[in-house]
Amino acid sequence: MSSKKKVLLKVIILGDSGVGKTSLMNQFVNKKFSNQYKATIGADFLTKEVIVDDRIVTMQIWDTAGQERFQSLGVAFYRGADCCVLVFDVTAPNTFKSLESWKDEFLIQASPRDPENFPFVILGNKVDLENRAVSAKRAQQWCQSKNDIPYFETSAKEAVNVELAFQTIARNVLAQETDAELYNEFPDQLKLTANDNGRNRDGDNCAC
Amino acid sequence: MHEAYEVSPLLTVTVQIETIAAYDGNLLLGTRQGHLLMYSLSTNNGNQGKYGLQLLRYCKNFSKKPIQQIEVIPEKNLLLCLSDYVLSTYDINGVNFPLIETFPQTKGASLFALDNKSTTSMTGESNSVVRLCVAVRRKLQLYYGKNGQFKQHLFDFSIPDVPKVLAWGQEYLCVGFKAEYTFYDLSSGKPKELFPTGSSKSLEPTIAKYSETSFLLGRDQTSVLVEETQDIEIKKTIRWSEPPISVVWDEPFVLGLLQDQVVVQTVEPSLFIQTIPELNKARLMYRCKRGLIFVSSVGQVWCLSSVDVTKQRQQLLKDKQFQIAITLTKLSECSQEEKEHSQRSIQKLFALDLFDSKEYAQSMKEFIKLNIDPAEVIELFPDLDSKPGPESSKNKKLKGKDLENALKALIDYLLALRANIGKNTSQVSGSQEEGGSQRNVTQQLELIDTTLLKCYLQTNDAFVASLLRLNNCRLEEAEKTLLQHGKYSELIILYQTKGQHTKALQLLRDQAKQPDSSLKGYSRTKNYMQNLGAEHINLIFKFSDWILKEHPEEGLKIFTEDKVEVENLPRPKILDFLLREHETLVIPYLEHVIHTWNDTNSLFHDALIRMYREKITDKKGAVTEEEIQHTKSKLLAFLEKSVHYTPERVILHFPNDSLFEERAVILGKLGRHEQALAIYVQILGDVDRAVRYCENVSENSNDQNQDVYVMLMKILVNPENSNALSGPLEKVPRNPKTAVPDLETALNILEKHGDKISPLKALSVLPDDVPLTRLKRFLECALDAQLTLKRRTQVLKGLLSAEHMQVQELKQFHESKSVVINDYNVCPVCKKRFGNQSAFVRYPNGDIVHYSCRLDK
Ligand SMILES: Nc1nc2c(ncn2[C@@H]2O[C@H](COP(=O)(O)OP(=O)(O)O)[C@@H](O)[C@H]2O)c(=O)[nH]1
Ligand SMILES: [Mg+2]
Repeated sequence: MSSKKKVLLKVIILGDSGVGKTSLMNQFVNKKFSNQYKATIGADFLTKEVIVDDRIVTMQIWDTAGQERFQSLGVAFYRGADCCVLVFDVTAPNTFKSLESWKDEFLIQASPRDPENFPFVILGNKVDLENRAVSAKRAQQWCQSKNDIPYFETSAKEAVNVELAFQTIARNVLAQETDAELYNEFPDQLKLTANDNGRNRDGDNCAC
Repeated sequence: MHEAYEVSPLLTVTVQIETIAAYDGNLLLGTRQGHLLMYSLSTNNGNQGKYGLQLLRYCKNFSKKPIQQIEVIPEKNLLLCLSDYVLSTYDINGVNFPLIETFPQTKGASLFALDNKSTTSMTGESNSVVRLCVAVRRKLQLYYGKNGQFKQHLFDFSIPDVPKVLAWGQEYLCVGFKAEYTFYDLSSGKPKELFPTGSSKSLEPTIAKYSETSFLLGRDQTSVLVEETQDIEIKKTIRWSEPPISVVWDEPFVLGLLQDQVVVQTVEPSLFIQTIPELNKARLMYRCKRGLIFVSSVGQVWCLSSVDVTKQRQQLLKDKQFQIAITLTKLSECSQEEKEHSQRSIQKLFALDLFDSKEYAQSMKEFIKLNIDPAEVIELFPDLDSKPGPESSKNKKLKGKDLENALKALIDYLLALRANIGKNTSQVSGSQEEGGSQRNVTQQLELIDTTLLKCYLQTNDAFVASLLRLNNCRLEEAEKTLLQHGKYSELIILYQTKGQHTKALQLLRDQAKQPDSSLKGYSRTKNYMQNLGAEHINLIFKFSDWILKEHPEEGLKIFTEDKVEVENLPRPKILDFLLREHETLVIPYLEHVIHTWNDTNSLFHDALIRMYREKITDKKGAVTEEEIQHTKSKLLAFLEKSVHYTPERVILHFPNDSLFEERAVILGKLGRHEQALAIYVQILGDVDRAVRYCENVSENSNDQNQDVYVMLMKILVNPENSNALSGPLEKVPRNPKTAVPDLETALNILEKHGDKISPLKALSVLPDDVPLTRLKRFLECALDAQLTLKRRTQVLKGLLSAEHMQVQELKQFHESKSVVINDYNVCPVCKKRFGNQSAFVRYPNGDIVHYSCRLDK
């Protein structure tokens, strides 16, 4: 196995609207936060390179509009995802309740090979706020009951745990793939890597 | 086999046909003798083919030399003719084709090529853009024609040889020489050599235009499809049985004129279609318009006309040539609606055929494109079809690997549909139809997800749980299917999402005892009930019974788990239920409610006290001594700590012959200190405890007049006269230790806590015969305390009166100031005088303004 191989990870962020998906992505990629709320339309991605051990990993992070339960993004959008990040707002219990639906919907649409071991990560966002309504313990418990999904408490506003969460995502996905030695079995992924050179942001937004 | 064209023999002439051309319904023949013949095509009722010809004009003196080539620009009524190696134009409408112009500079021409993009507008005006290229020896002359006039370009293109064939492309001119093909860039004249015409020298080049920018070029026994893009690109090769003499493209067919026959093929995919034989010595082929091609030999003319599309289609469908059928339909002349209709039906047949030939994925892609009712697709899988009845047996069952592949394709199909539904619903907004279409969407989703469920059960059941939780499946069908597959665990999820809790809990109870069931044991039931919430409390009671009996400790978690749903269950009802049915669990339950959830409802606090009490006083002897002691200490601690029970109610049930200490605590809470102290002293004989009690009370209470110490002293000094223990405790035996008056202890208490005891009250309870010396310490202390208090009060008084004086002085100072306001005073803000009654404000600097003019408004 060549250890310096460049890897591209497709990460999809899901969750109810307003939980802070866009903000988390912006904090991670651009180190910026804004209090203004601008609804995301369709889907949009940003990329960021991280270094995991001795490898450069390009994370392609797809932000989505959370209004619809049925994503209008199409099956193709979900296919080939390497990790799915589910976000809820710790001050809004409903957004926590929705996690299960998001997870199920994702699995059905993405149809990963091994649904039981597909890497998910749960982020409980907005921990900087005082009116917290979902306790860390409850969230943790739920994650444990779902096959031990990693859980992070984040604040996009104060950049708490954001870096760590995304680093862990990259690390876990890589670890899983190394376990299975799946490198050559993922034509999708290799293709994406090749396309990535000189890809322009706006031109490639439509994944339908 | 499919017939695309039918042949009509048109003519046998004695003249020698040198060249042919055709436009609209007219055919022109140019002969070696220099004659020009013009015919019109008419439908023929005879059995000699579909069409016949009528001679319109016969011009014997058209030219003295053989006619080499003719072309027509119908929009301009212009005939171009190459004869005697020079190009001339003629009026095609005039009798005997009068000459319009001869181009002397074309002397020596061997060949020309016309590119006519003329269009006739609605008003009848024709707008023509005509390009003309004439090959004059080793030069190409280019002309640009506008409104019947030809203008020659400034430069000619030099070429290496005399060309054999010529054709216009978009930016290139395609030239076929004896030996090879070359493209000439129209803007620069630069050549791009392509490839040789063939391996043997005797082959003539052929060019057929395939589109505005592509050509079919003959090479040996093939025609090569060449596209002029940025670069020139070879797209495809079509084989013939021998090198063709001439090739024409009549979408979607390519026709190759071979020895005595025309062969019809398609290009994409390349398929052999038809051979039209017995075209004796044919050597020329000219396409007049779509579906009409003329073929001629030296003395004979035929026409090839396309067979009626409907008829062709029937045959094509029989042969499963769906693509060609679709293309033909698209090109046909029927109405748009009709076209779409037949196109759809062909596509459907195509999709079905793909399915039959096990191309499942392809087939499903076609179905998606068709956007047909998914029910029709699902019908292809008899196993999945829910409709009973004989008609569902029309599709045969798939097996083994085929079934697996087909199901996988079906899953992809259903998922794509699902995503489409999502797309469409997110676009719909606020129309009146929304209700209806919403219902429709729901039904579609039901069908899709129920079918997906069946697919997953046969392919990958790891998706089943997720799918069920999304809650679009039809209950009855899903239930039946899951039962068939023995998927009890998933069945529970179905019931749960559909609100069929009774069914779920029944199944769980039944399965709990099955040794090899996936639902064995109690934990699924427990989890299930922990999610039900308050509205289903009666159901929880009904089905928790067996767990509570068999696994009381774990079972109790149904009511105590750290979950919102559990925490919000109605606790009084649960208490009631446990009291009725599972009494042993009441104490652990209440302890959880009170200590973990910090419930302050006195109902629970009272009940817990009652439960402890009953356990301790249990006469049945079911409780061990150790347990009793443990419970006792819990009871006592709880009575002391809790502030949420109602002591007046609790005390009523306490026995008169035991639990005195506990009773004392309750009495304390009620503020009945005398009775509490009496119990400590007279019944329990525990004076230390009584003193501690007093310390506690005087520490924690703000009321200075509690006089608890006095009460205690009274009891100690005068046990007989104390009537604190009247009523129910009257008969309780008194502790002998404290039965006799104990003045010494009372005095000790007095000495020790003198500062908290009112001296007058203390003295009133002491017997008169106590020697004064015995009280010396106490009295001194008391006096000291009084003196301290007095002095402190005096100092305070002095301070307060000093402060009072200061304030008075200040008041006088302020009162001593005055201002005079008369008619000459003017408010500096509004510049008006002060009226008789106006309120005003004086600033510290002396300015006086109206109250309403002040700045701080
Ligand atoms: N206090 C706080 N506000 C946040 C945080 N993350 C996002 N927000 C705010 O929540 C709102 C919604 O955020 P956004 O990222 O657009 O949510 P999205 O709909 O999930 O993409 C915005 O007003 C953000 O400023 C956070 O960590 N803390
Ligand atoms: Mg957003």
